[in-house]
Amino acid sequence: MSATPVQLGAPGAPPAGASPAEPPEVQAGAAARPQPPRAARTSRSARSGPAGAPAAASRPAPPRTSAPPGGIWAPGPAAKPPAGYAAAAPAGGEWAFLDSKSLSIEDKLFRFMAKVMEKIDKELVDKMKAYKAQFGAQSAGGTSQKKGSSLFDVAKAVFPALGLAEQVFGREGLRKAASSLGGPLLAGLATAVGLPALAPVALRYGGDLAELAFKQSGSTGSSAAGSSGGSSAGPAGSPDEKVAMLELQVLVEKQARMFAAVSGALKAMHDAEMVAVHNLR
Amino acid sequence: MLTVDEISRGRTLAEAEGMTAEIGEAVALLAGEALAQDRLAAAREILEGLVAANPRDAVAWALLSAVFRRQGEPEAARVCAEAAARLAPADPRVRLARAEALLASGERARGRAEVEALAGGDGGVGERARRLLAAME
Repeated sequence: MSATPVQLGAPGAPPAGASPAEPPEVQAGAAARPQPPRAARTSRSARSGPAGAPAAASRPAPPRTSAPPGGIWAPGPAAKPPAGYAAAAPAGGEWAFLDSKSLSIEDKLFRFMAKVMEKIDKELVDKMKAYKAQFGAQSAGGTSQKKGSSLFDVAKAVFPALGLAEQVFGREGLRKAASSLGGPLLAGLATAVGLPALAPVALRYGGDLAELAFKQSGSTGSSAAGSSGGSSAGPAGSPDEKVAMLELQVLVEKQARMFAAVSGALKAMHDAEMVAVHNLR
Repeated sequence: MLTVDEISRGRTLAEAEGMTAEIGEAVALLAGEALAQDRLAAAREILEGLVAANPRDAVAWALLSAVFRRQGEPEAARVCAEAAARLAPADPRVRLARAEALLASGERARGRAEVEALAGGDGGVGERARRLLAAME
């Protein structure tokens, strides 16, 4: 199984103890050069001297000392970050607008809705793609055709590598051998003959499917393919497919609920403001 | 832990789990003992595990071939014997297992030629090859 890097903390969220992220408007101008938060900048200018004193900018900068801050533990200017850490979240993050002081609550709500919609849309597209990958080929060419073909491909690749083409002991012999050996042994064979890339495919399918694969490949184009296709992996509308459709439906419903909630909130806010306007009249 | 990526790059379960060649040999001996005592199901179970753990073990494939042959599955026996022969073509035990699989799968001429070639050798393999030849006369 491939290991996924572990991300500490939610993406976009500032690390614990860190100051809140700057809104995108502030960062846009400061992308090249990191700037302290606005509060810090204000306090620094306030500390520049007594009222009416010249600004700190005109004062000559103090000479740099040779010892860098942090002593020997401070990373050098060109030091690469050590391996093994998760990638740092981009400064500010995608939800930074929530902390913006320049945006109204309506703007934030609208942006929030847009962001959530974007996420749900992406999730929906991913689910549809997964559905297509899993069930799309089945509806085109029969449910188990794809699985059976994969295993047949393994057998077709592995057996000739052993000098056992179909001519050696016939198609029936190959079928018997494949179904006796089963998935794990076929996977072992694939590795033994120097085709380890086929091993995971063989591991996934057992000997019964090997038999089915041979049956299917023997009856390609005939009506038998259709009848055997439904026997093991299930026709379109199988429980797996129903679950996938249900997941899609849940996502669409989630999207609809999101729309309803945010538009309801916006309308309520608008109504409240209108009440104030009417009262003023 | 063995990942799918590692499997497809040819890494074996034995490598991932730190299973040494000595352990493999001991397991193969155990299976050979079961085979000698005609406990074919037990031998098959052990050997299937062994070749799944290390598909590059030629002796395990050869033994598995013998098990399949004695269980009346000559095609599977032949496949296993060919896998063993591909891994260790010069090993006399593997050559004998392949010869027996050839004979069982109906390729008598090739099987006999291989047995004749082995009959000149000494040790257990040569002895068995000579007895096989005598039985075929």
